[in-house]
Amino acid sequence: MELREELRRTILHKLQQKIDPLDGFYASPEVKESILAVLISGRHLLLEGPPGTGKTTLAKILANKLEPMRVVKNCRFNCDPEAPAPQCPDCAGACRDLPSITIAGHSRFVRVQGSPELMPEDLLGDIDPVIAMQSGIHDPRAFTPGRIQRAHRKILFIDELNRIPERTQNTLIQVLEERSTTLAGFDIDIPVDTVVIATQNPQEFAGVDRISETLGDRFERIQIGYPDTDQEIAILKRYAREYNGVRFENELLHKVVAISQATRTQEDVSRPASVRASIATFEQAQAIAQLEGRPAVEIEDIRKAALISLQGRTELSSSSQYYDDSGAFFKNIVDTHLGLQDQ
Amino acid sequence: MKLSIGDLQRAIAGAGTLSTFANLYQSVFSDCPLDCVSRLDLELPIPDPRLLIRQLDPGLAAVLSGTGRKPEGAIPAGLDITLISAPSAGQNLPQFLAELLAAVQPDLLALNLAPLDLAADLRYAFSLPCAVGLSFTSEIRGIDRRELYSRRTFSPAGLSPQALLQGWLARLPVMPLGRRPAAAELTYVPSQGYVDLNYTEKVHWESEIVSAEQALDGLLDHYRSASVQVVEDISRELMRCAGSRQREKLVDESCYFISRLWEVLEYFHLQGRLPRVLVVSDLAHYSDIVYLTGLLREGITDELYVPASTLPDFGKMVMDGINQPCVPNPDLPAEGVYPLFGRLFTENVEKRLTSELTEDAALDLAVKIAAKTRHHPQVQCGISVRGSIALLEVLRGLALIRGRLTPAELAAAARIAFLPRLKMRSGAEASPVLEDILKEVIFDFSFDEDLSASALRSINKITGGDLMEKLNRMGQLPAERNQPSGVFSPPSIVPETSSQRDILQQLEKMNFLKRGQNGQYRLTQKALQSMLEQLDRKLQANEITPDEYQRQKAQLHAQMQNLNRPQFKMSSRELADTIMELIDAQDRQWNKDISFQTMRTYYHIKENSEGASIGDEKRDYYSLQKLIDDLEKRKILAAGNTASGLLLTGIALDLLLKYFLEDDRTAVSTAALVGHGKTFSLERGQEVRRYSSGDAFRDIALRPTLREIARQKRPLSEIRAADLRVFLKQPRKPQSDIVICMDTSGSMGFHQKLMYARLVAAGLIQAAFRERNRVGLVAFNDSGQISIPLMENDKETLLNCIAGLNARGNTNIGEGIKASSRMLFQAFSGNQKRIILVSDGQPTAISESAFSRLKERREKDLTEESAILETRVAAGKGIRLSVVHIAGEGEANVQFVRKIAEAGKGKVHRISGPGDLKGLVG
Repeated sequence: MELREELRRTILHKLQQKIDPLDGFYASPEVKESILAVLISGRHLLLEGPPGTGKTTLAKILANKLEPMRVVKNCRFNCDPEAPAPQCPDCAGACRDLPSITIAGHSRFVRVQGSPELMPEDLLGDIDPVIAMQSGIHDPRAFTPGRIQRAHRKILFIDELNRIPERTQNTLIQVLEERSTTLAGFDIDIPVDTVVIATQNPQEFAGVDRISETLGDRFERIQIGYPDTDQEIAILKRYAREYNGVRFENELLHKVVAISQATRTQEDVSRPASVRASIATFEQAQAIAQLEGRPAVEIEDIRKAALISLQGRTELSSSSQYYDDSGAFFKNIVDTHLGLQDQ
Repeated sequence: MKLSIGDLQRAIAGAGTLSTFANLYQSVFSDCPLDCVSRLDLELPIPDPRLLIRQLDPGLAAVLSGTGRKPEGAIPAGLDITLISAPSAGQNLPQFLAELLAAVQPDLLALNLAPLDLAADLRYAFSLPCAVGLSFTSEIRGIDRRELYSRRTFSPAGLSPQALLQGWLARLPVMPLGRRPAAAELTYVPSQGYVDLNYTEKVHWESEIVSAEQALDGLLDHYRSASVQVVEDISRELMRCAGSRQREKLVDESCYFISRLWEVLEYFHLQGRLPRVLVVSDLAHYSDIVYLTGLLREGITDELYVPASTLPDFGKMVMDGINQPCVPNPDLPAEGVYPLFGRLFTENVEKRLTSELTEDAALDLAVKIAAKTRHHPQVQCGISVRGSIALLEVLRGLALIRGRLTPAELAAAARIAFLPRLKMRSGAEASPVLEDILKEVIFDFSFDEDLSASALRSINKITGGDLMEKLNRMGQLPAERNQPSGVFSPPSIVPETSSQRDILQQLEKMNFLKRGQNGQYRLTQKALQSMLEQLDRKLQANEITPDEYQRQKAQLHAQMQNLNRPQFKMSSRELADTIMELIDAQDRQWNKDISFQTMRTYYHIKENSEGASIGDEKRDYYSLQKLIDDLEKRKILAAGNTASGLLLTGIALDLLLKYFLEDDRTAVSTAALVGHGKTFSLERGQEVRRYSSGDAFRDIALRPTLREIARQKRPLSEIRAADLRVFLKQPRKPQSDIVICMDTSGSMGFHQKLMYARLVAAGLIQAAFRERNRVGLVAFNDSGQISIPLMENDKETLLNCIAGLNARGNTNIGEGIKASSRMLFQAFSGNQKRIILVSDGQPTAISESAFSRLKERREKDLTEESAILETRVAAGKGIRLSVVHIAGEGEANVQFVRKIAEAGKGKVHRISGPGDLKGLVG
């Protein structure tokens, strides 16, 4: 079964059972529905949003939903033992009864971290000089598969797509539309059955390249924003680490989230606190309380933790009048939302 | 779906001006961008009754518009009048009347009820030579917190708003011939709010209508099996239900109706025709009309005639309903027109949104949406076919999730699949455009495609062969007598009506005509050529005499020679002076194009008031005309924004610059302001090339070399020098993206500052292109900006734009810099980014958002502060800013200019006269 068909059945099955297929990912119902619609339709997904909005989490959740699969042992192209690809160099000419191993569902996930240094060879594979010296240069085994080939029958997750140089982006075009790649130098087309989930930061962020129109046309782009207060609290409860023996009052949890939310609505802030900042504040506040040997987190702990976690994670816009004194600005926000200072 | 109640409300309430597609779109989609609708500026062929009237023959039209006189005598004998009364609320009524029309086959339909209820079934009635209807208005009043829709004078009760809505959707026309009903006398009754006491019987009336409706619906079945004779029975039955109401007012109204009918019949009689008439009247008037028709037949007409009242807004619109707003009722704050229409409209929208779609229908709609995005003026690049496929697949997915397929799902899928794919022109946002297109397609507010297509066809039909006839029919073909003796005056045509203008514009597109000054059109050589050919054909067909042929041919030849006359001779100095005068004239006009008239005035003032000496060729009327023609021909002037206006082009700036710099074209360089520095360095790229002896070992690319050997299918041991691949090294190009940010505020209009600014900009653009940079332009004042995105080498567009700028408004340097840096930031290139601000350094305005951000600051001059702030923001993004300070005579705000250049890490260059232009040497 094709991966997209598998994904589609899994999602529809969950929906029929009234289970949220994206359980653990927190966003508005509209965004969730859009994501599901794109995945059911079997198209590739491009998630756009600021850092720390759960884009990677979402991709991992989806991989977790997949069933375990059997692959040919030692096949670097993840061939199906029932029907190995005839072009596959590793299973070439072999009959049906190949030794096989099982790959767990959550391992059906290949991650590519986008960066300006990512080369086309990293994605498409290339000749391995050492093996080429040993076994001869015309042996297809001298070919080292890249991330794309390794993602056969898996979800290919590309983080920060728009930080990848355009030259490397172009290597994706074939696999996205034709679902196959050509091994460089061998003229062998290897099928790559995958669903690509990519993320990118909005274009206002520094250090991003633009994705080409041809590439963008092959993705369905969905915008993800910061979660709202309730969603963020749920995220904290689910993902943040809780220290044994330290109590965290629910009321204080609200305050942690309120600080982060406040930075997102301020015009002066060009880079607001992400969900990671909330998690950091949450964990550090507990650590501080534990250090001082207290059984429960107090407001002062949150204040200290918030100031540490906001520093470096947030940035004031250069047009702000507090630009020169960002420390005081964030101190003001923290104090206001902790009730230590009037508005 | 964000189609607001206001959308249709606007369309109906503002119906008074709904005569073109454009204003319909505008009233339905109030935030629809103007340039989107301007393409739809075609007349609506059906909805405007004036159009209907215009299509009638003039005599009848005169009768209908109330300019007739009292007819003499009775209705001629043998006239076939069928009378039928009907309540307008019967469910089967439209169908019934349609059948009736088919059975009676009248030549004339007289309606004494609001035709809206008849809806589209009756539409073909209006292909009859005449339809007589009475005006109707309607109002909504709240009684006992109930919304009650009641009739006003002429229209029967029960005219439902649903019908109004349908009528609008079907765009059913009516020719209102009746008098506008007098304003209702409203009395405040404590328990009921404002009530027209004349309508106290309303509740009673309503119940009658219900019973009449039932009776009608029952009889209709009977009617269908019987013949037309039953009509009388039905009428009698209905009369019985409604009871007779012989009120004074109703008799007056019936008389009025009969008088109009009489006038129309008289007209037909005089034409020697006896039309068959079908009169459809409402219940209240029916018995009167039967009686009065009887009197008319017998010739008893003394008391009968009521003169037509000519309404000031006669024939205005289909919907005259809610032009008079509801009286505010203190007891019922939220009731009245709006809730009612709102509810109905929401229902209608909901119905359309929730009606199930088949997959094929969805496919149709999806294709339509995609097609619309490709032609939308604000969209740079529409939806690809892959996008349409994506939409369909996403739609299927969404339908599976939600378990239904309706337009709402289609809209949601379009937002997922289309929104990110739309590539918009600069400044436009994708989301509102897509929403507009979705509204248009899903609610099908656009008109019949056939209609608009036929309207378009009728314009496009002109061919070259028609040219003579068209021009002849306009009676504007130039004749000799228009030419003053001795002076050449080219043949010209001035359009008088809009239809003529359409034709002329069409001809202009076909290169038969060329638009000149004063809105005149002139024949081109191509046109004269084709007219000559036509003349030959006519001679061969013996349509004209040889003498006539010779005369016309000579005339055409003379015109052709005139077209090809030699050009005006001018030295470069004279030319430069003339261009400067033209620029001066353009700037003095502030915001208008120049034309022959303004130049004449300009020279007149210059000579008489300023004592300057001007040459003969500029003093004389005809030679000045010739001069300006000549400048236009040399493309120094080009057609401007208005019909007769002319604007200077980039070529003019080019010539002037050349003159000032004495053709030393390398004099201006961007280096002084941009300053690449000496940053040449070698960069190891991804590309490889063959090895050549002398290449460093460290540059050998191992993998490409191996790949090359593998490609040639040779063993590794047989490696040759030719197989080696070496990384290419390229010098890093010191390219820059430059945005010229021009101040076009009012202060630039003095002391020829704008002219120098133009020259500086033109010089910089040329220099920048020479140095292979990309150049964009932002021209700003406080009210808006003109911007041209970064371009590689389109000098002409930039220069033309600069030449056409004019100085007015305040100076909002902050916004100008903001727009410039946005343009640079969106360029996504690794090039160096530069802004060159060309200004006199006197900011006088600040944008509202900047003000609200800055108002707490201590600095006195917030306008300067906002400019410096934006510069600093830009500098933070790596955009440098230099200033060309156009200093007039004496006045200068040097400190600010220096400050802003400092913030932008750039330089200042001061221009106070033509000599300084040369100083821009690097």
